[in-house]
Amino acid sequence: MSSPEEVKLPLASSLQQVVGALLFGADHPLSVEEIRGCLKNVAELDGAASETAALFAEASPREIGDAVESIAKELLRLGLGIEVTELNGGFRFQTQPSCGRWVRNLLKMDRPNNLSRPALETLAIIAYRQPIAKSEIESIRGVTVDHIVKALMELHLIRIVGRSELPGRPFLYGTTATFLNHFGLSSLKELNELDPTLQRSRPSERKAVHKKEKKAGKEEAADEVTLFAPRDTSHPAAAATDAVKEILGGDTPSNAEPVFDKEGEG
Amino acid sequence: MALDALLTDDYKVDLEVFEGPLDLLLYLIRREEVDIYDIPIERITAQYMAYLDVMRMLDLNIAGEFLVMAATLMMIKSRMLLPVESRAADEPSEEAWIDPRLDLVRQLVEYKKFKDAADRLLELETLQSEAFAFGGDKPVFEKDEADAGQALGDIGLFDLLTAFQEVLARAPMEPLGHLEPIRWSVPDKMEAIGAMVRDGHRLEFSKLFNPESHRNEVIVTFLALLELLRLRQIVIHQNAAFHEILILPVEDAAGEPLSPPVIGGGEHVES
Repeated sequence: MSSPEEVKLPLASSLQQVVGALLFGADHPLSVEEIRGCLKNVAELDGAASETAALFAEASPREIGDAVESIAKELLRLGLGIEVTELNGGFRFQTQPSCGRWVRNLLKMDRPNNLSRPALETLAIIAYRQPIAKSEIESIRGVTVDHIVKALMELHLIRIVGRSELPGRPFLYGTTATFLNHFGLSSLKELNELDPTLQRSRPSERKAVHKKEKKAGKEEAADEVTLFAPRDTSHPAAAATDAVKEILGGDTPSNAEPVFDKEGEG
Repeated sequence: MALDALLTDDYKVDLEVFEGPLDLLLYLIRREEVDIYDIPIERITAQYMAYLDVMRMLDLNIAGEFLVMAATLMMIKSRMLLPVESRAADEPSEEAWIDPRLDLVRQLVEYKKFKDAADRLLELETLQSEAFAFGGDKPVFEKDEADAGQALGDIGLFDLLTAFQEVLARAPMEPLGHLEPIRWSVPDKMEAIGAMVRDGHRLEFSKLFNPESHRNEVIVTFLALLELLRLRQIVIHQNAAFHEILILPVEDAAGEPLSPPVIGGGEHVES
């Protein structure tokens, strides 16, 4: 028997092949940067031994984006019931929603409840106007939203992203990565393009978080990949993580740990 | 109120109301098919008050905002009653007359936009919930987690109240001074509705009530329905806006009424 080293495996000859394989093999949505990092890694490890690996390592974000896009188009053309989708700035293969009925049956999964209308409306307000204080949400909806905001927090669809300069320094809420995943969105930019008129138009009286978000948005625009943008850094939740940690002292708002301790003792 | 006497065993339906006065106004504007920019304030105010009365009668947790809005509507209505000439004569040199409805309309239009955005979120959510990654692994949350205001399903509270109002209007009035013995209780009615739905699978809302049902019976039946909804023992469904409301057993709403029982009691499969 020959040892594995002696067997010479043929190497992939196109970037598209490798990108497709990575998307298939990954356990989470892959960003263009992650794909690029992997290509570079392999080239470094294999060094001069593999010309192909070195060549792939040269691929620009744009070329990788193009490869993903052409895989997506090809899948659509072939009608395999599979598609490429962009979730929170990463790409993944998923089954087409039109086949969901059967997949769900095979996996014995119940259809999940949709969020209620009041919850969706509250979420829409937060998504388009973030960072936003509860009082502002209430002035738009015309009714208190305590319960709903709490429920949305528990579902991890929204999170506290900072504090307002308004009297009492109320918490400001924004959406999370879970939100993007749940609604199949690539980024908040995609959401805003659905309803461009809903964004906060008046200059906001605040806020470092908000500024950061805008700056990141510009960087993204400068990047050439448009249809399949690289991992979206404009996510305010990500941008504001530090701010929240500072405010909450690293504790999660739900503060679950002490409860566990008690249970352990008793 | 008469209701207290009806609820023999102190049964109070504690249905959380997540909709506010703006929701009710938009609902009325849509149902009456009136122009949001030219609201017939008198008609809409009258209807608004009628809904408020029904909510009060049912002892729902009415938010204070409903009362504030009632006052606002009254104020607008009274201002609208001023004849245009006198308004112009009073302030001839002042800026042009400002429609007293303006602020309200602005608020309604703004909120309406977010309601439309919520429609699109619902589409996206539905679409994405039907897409599965390799091995079916997906970030779903548990059914009862998606809870905020879910009790009424895809129907708004005001649709239900409309249906209730219609039945109540048909119910014979009790003669003045006539005391009716208490014959109905919410728990009894809950059981009755539950049995009807289990046997008949689906039930039209109007079939819940006999044509000659006593007024009190109508109210108790409706309260029982709300309570069953809150406890999620039944679900309601409406095929299109302002259509007949259907009452279904919970399993039916899972969308797979014909499939055999799922192994493991319909739990999510660990993946």
